[in-house]
Amino acid sequence: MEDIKMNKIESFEASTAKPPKRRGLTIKTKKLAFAWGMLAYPILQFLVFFVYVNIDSVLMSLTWVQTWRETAIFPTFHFFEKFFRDLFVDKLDQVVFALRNSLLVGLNDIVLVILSVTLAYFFYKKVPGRNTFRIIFFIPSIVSIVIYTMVYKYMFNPTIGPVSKALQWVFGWNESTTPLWFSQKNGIWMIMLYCLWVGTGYNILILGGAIANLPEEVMESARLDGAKMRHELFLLVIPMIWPTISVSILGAVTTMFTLFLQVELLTQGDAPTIAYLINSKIQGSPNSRSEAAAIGLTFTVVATPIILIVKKILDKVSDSFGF
Amino acid sequence: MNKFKKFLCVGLTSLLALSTSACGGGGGGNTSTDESTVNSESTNVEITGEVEFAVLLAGYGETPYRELAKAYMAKNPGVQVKLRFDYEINSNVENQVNNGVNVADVYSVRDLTQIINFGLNGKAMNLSSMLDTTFGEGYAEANLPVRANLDSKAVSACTLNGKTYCFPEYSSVTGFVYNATLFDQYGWQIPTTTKELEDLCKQIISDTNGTVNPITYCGAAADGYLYLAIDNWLYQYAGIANLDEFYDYGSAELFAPTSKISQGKQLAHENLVKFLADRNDGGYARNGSMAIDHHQAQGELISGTSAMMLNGSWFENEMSAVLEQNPGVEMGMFAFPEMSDASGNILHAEGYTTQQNKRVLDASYGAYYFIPENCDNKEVAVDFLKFLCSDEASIIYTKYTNAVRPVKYNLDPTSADYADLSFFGKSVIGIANSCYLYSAYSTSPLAIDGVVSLYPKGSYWCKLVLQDPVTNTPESKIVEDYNYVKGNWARWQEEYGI
Repeated sequence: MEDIKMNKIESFEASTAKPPKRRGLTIKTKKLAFAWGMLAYPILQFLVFFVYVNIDSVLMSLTWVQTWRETAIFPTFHFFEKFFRDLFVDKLDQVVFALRNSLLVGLNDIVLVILSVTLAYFFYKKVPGRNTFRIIFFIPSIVSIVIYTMVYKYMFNPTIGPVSKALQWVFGWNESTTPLWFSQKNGIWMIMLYCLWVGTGYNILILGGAIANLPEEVMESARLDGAKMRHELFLLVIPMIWPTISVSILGAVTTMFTLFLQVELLTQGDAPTIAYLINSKIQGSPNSRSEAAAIGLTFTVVATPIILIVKKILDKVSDSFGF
Repeated sequence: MNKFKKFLCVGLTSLLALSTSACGGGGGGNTSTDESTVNSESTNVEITGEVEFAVLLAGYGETPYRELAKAYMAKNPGVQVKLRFDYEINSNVENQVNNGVNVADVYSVRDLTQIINFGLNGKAMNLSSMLDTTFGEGYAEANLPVRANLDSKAVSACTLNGKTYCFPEYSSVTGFVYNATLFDQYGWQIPTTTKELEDLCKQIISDTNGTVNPITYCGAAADGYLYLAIDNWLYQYAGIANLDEFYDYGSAELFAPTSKISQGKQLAHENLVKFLADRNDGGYARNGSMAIDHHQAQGELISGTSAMMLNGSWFENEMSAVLEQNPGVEMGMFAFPEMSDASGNILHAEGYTTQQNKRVLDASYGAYYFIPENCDNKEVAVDFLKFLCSDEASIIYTKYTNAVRPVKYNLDPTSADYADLSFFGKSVIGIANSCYLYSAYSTSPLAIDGVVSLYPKGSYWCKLVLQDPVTNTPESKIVEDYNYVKGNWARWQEEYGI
């Protein structure tokens, strides 16, 4: 009994004793360090990849290195003038095609969003084999683009490609009359088809997740009220997942100005986009890089209001849905 | 929660540190860079130190550079040559030289304009004085000025306002690569005119009952190398004097449809369509070959399904793995046959000139050697570059690459120097030895700034012509080019002070 009492006293003393003073950082300093630790990386990212890159781009676009005179002119709008002349006066094929193809890619991505919403909805409706289809659709999103573009090209190979072979059988083509799928003329349509094929999986995953989280009571209530599938899709599902669809549509608009890898891997540049044009010029001489910077800045000026307007429209639609 | 914060802080700090170090180090963050050292066994001692040589790791592989390093160290045992093989040297060099990060002593890179700009900014060494020095003892050309051993045009191409900033590594020799085993088997002869080439194509079809395609397009990766045929046929037609006049870019009329160059382009494209169109379309190329890739096309050439293709001296190195699997197959290359009429008369433009009655071939420069001003071992680098300009280095280079160098050295394929060379290699240097290699370069500000070129609107149109010869006729393309140049000429004259 005495032992128990003693232990209680010791335990009481231990609990009431002041903890030894810890030397080091105060809580305030720790909090600050934590905050700066969290902020340092994004700030560095912002400074390097936004502030520095953009300032450098502007300076570069205004610099014309005149090698033959051993001098450089700054500031000059030479490369902006050149781009507008190439596009509107001389109508250089590569520039005109690049602009046209970029617009087509943007429209294609809108189609992609519509297709993805529809497919995601069907998967939600538990169509037979949905899990298999989900995997099939998603595989292209996780396999390297180099491999998938190669697979895609082989599918259309006029000698061994199953798609070309099937089309040859249907239309009576031979190896020579089979269209050159990845040429300047047809390449952009093949790129668009590829983007639809590969892009759906990722979008289905995102949109499918949003649909799966919809409250089942709402859907059930609609069904009890006699809503058919089209009513459910257009009056319930789309309005309720609109914020997710908005993000996908915004992504589609920006793709218009960023898609270039597929162009290189599928057409070797025969069906260029604006991003491809810029990328091809970056690899050249200093003046070529200045030209790329001028084109890039021009399209930043063009793209910014487009994206803002699209965002505004999407927000308006969101408002009308009550978000 | 506190533990979580600590963990997060440590994680973020590590990430920050890693990303910062990744930004600062190395050659632009490229992980493919390999650095290796070749050991010397020789005893001569003159210069000591080390020199780092950065080269592109591509079609020629590592062997030629290792052999060059070995040979140099045999002459200079006090020197260690460090080789840096880099898949991305052509883009990494910009950061390395401009920012002084990981700078090598000698570079071999592709972009001449980039090197000239390094020179103008004081970043590339002026090699003029090195070129005026003489080769030392131990060289076959001892006491000969380095400049005298080099192709003068190659030096001029690298010179701006009297300062030479670099020197070409090699000249591209191209032609029709053919399956020599197949040629031997059927007794087919190498054609020297397009009439003979057409006869050969017909003979191939007839001798093999159509099972062997006379020609195959070489894949989309490099536009099937169609431009090689166009440029070579054009050069052969125009001759040296006309080409020199054209590359001066003195007038918009050089692009006129009636000009010699435009006439040459017209004929060259007509021949291209004649030979490279699918057999089903009346040509001599494998059906559907424009849709296959170069691996498949080159593989078919080796397997004997096709007999010829447009290609270059790099073919053997590029296809070495496939050739090893087919030990009985021998490949060769012949020069582009000269354009001729239906009777076999060779077609030349008015004012055509050549040297020693040789065929004029296009042999543009591949890569260029230069020394950065901010390198660590300038003295050894200069000596190493001098070695690279010697006969000995050139022979080693040719032996291991099949490529020729713009250096005045032995290119006789029958000489002992090339006894070990493959049949393909011998056929390539045989072309270089028997033809006049014309390397286009221009001192016109328009050309230096990339405003005009042989195809002034910026790209070849041979592929478009071949894909759709009805819509894209050579005539229409020539007129488009001419109108473009004519419409801009006055402004260019003003802007460029010409």
